[in-house]
Amino acid sequence: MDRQNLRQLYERYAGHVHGRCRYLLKDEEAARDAVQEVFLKALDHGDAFRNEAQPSTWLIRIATNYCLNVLRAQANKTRQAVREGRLEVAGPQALWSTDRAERRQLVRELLEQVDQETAAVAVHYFVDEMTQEEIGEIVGRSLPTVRKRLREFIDAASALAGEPPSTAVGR
Amino acid sequence: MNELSPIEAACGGPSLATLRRYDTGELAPADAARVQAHVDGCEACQAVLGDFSAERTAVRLEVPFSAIEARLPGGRALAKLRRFSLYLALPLIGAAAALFLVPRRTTNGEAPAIRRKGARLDYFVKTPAGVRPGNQFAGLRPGDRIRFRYDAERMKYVLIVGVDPDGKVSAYAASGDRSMRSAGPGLNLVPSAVTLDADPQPERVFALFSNEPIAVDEIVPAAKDALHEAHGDVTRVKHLPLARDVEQATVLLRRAP
Ligand SMILES: [Zn+2]
Repeated sequence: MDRQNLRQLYERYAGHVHGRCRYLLKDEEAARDAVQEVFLKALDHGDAFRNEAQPSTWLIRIATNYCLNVLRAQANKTRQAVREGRLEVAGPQALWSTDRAERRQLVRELLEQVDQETAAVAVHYFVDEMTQEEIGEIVGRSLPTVRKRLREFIDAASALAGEPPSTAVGR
Repeated sequence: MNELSPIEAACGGPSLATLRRYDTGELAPADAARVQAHVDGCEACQAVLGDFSAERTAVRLEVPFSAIEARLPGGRALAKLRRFSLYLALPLIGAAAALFLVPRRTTNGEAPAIRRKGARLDYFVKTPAGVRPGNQFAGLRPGDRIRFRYDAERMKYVLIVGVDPDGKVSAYAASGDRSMRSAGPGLNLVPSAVTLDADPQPERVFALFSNEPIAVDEIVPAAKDALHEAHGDVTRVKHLPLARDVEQATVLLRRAP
């Protein structure tokens, strides 16, 4: 991929990448840096990109992983906030809210409770509204693994809301 | 509730990922038409597309492509770019700026203009002590009033912009957000004066002469590139990398120590 290609890619997709970075990092300055990093990574993987049928999905995956990696380096603030009563987190049923904004916000609060792969799967599922099959494809995991990660995420939601982990695990 | 039932928006329309692919033109025509039909009647999905569009605008302003380009392999080793913003100084100062009289002629040899191909830019400074021609070596103080003067040679349009070390671009002579028409042959004063604020940073001012108007926001990435070339030192920026046929003249505004 040359500079001209990268520029075209940038003009078309930078807004989406920026949106994802702002959502995950909650910090304008960090999001701006992240956008640059994501496109530099895209350039590194230019050959993979050329054959990509869904460039937006591909870039969003890179952006999500990059930001989750940044987040992991930060202290877990959500649990602290809950403990101190500054934050109340809804139970896992709210993850199925049909209100995009509400769902998005809850997922964001929970991300720091789980490992990076689980967080990525949860974002693609609950925020991007992708199917488990689609997620398995882009994260390179089997369907059972995707389900396992989703259950871990849901359990983290229960734990943070002070509910026992769900026993009625769906399939 | 099935614990792992699929995620759906209230409207039951396409997933967010699909809306994103629709937005970027990745969907096959039949799929795109289906999404379009849904979106036309769905406020929730229209709101999502509105957010996409807003992010696109934001990223254009906040993370210009030149910021990435500057970090490409083979480019210079570059510091991380800071955000740079664009604002138009002219509307802010326009009404309040009282005109002041300037000498009809300046003494030769004192003109601070850096001449390029005959087009030129210089300025006058009004202080409590009176009006004097601008000079690189006599610094400026907060409260000084500056008025630019230009010679557009035979070019029809002029745009005067300042670039500070943060890459912030201010318009000092413009018509709305683009070049203004040159007042004619010879030396012309710009319509209004600028009062210097207390910011101690130097500022590089360019007069850009052209036969077609230039938009101020075209200048922003060029200014950023030029600053990078000069390692962030505005005193060393002598030229803006503008694609089209534009003549340039520049002066440096420096605060008094
Ligand atoms: Zn909809």
